Order: sequence, then structure tokens, then C-alpha cells
Amino acid sequence: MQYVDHFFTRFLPSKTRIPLVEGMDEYSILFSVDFTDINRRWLITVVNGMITDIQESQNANTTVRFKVNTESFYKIVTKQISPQAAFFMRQTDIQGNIFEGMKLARILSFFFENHPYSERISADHV
Amino acid sequence: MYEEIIPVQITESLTVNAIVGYNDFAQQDELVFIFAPHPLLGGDMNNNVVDTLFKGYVDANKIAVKFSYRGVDSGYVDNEPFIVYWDKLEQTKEFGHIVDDSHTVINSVIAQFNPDARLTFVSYSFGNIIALSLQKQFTAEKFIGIAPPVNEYNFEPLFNNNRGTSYIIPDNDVFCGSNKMQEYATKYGLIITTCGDDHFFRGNEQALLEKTMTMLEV
Repeated sequence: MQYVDHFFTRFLPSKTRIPLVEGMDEYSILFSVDFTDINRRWLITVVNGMITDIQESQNANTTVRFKVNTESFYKIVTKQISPQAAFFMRQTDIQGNIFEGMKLARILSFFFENHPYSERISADHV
Repeated sequence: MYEEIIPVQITESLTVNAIVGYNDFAQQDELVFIFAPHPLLGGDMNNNVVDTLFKGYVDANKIAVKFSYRGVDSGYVDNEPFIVYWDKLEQTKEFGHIVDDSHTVINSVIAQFNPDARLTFVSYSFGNIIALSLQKQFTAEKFIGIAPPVNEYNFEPLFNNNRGTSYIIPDNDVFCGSNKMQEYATKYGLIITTCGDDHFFRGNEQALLEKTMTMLEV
């Protein structure tokens, strides 16, 4: 199992219904994480400031698309690098609504700060 | 390079830290203030553009000053995560408090370093709103605006009050449309030059620094 499968099918679902940031109760967005090296894509729905749905799908319009490879994404979710820093280092790219994408990157920084991914799936996870 | 942190008390519970950088050869008669972008757009004093300009100016024997806006360093404004505070602020687009904070920061730094120093403002993205709003109070001798987000905010009154100011705009900037900037340039006598390929100058930071240095030397 690649870590991305574990992340999107086990870890992230366990964090649904948890506020991404306390106080952002009205924040809603549909965004995707597009992996550039494995050609896979997950859609994430945020409603009222909480993740409510996670689906793997190649086809759907989203407000924001984060384009990233598995190695950089792993660094982000394990807090080795912030989503914004990854963007400024060109380790990720944002398509769609750039302002919303940057704002979402900030929100996810908060979230991963409090909920870092710490599972060790295998040595070849990236 | 030396860096001094100057904590500036804004309210009882709110402090903004200014970082002042200089070297042994710094010209003490000039202070260069760098205004950061919007906190929701990756804007803080460690932003790639802000940091490159800051270090570059210090290397050029200038005294450079950078600071983050309220809540960004501490993470909170009045017990509220700063991102929530800034999200609300963004909805109102009323940035008077941020202008006032920045005014206080500049006054504090000037008072501590050289009350008679000439001021230079270099503002990036959202920072243009703050710097242009403060121009009437400080009358900076030199001003360079980088990628003012004219597609997102109404810059008309700011440009009207700051005719003839100079701007660097990227070629393909979703926040700073070149056509719109050209219209403003014609209307308000703005001077425009180009650098970089998008709003974030990723990989073009040094070219941007050199462009601003050239403009500052004129």
C-alpha cells in the first residue's frame, strides 16, 4: 500500500467532522490533490469548515487543484514543509482560483500543524 | 549581516515585530521599509520576495526593515487564529487597522534608528495598499510598488493620491492585470516596468531584486 492510499482512505477520513481551523465555521470549498507522478487525484469536500467527503476521481471541476508529487505531499502532511513553502519552492502548483488556493494552503497548514500524518506505511512510501 | 528585532506594542495584547537588518557599512541616513503581501496569500516577513529584497538591500549597505502584519507572527489576534481574523478582514476590505499598525511600526523604527532618515518604501502585492495609504503621512522619498493586486482591490483612490509612482509588474499576473495597470498608468502618470512571469516571482526573486536596485539608484 502506498502511503497516499493510506492517507486518503484511512488517515484523512478519521479527521472528518473536525474543524480545520477553529472559527472558520462557514468555510466551504471543493478542491483536489492531483499527484503528478502517479497520475491519481483525490477530491476533498469541505463544508462548514470541516472535511466531509474524500473521493478518488479523475473527473470533476474543483475550485482549487493542488498539483504535487508524492514526495512533496508527504513532506507537507508530515509537517516537514508547509504548504505555502512548498508552493514558493515550486514543489506544488495551484490551478483554479489562486487566491482561494493560497488561502486554503494557509488553512491546511494550521490543520496539519495540529493533525500531522505520522503513519509509517513502508520504506518505499514515497 | 546583523538583525535586530524591534517589538512594537500595538495594543495590550497585540505586538508586531519589526526586523531591522544592516551590515557594518550601512548608510544610516536611509531606511528601506518592505511591505509584505496579504497573510492569506503567503504574506509574511519570510515571504520569498520580501526576504530576497531584505537580504539584497542589506548586502547593498542599506538599512532594511521588514515586518509581518498583525497576528501573523503569533498566530492569533485576540485569541482568534489570525487566518480567521484576516478572512473576516478580507470580506470587509477595510484595512485601516493594518495601516495604523504599520504606521506605528514605522514610527518606532525611525525613532530608534534615525529620526531624520530618508524613507524608501518597497511594497509587494497587498503591501501596496498599506504603503500607498501611508505615503501621505510619511512622504517616502522613493517608492517602488511590486505587483499591486488591482484585479482584487480598488486602487483608484490610492493611485490618484500617489501620482507618478513607479511599479514593477509581472507578465502574467492573475492579481495585477497589465491592461488595467496600463490604464492606471495613463490616468495617473504611473511608471511601469515588467519583471517575472507571475504574481509570486518564484525563481525570479533575484531578477526582481536587481530591478528594484536599479530603480532605487536613479
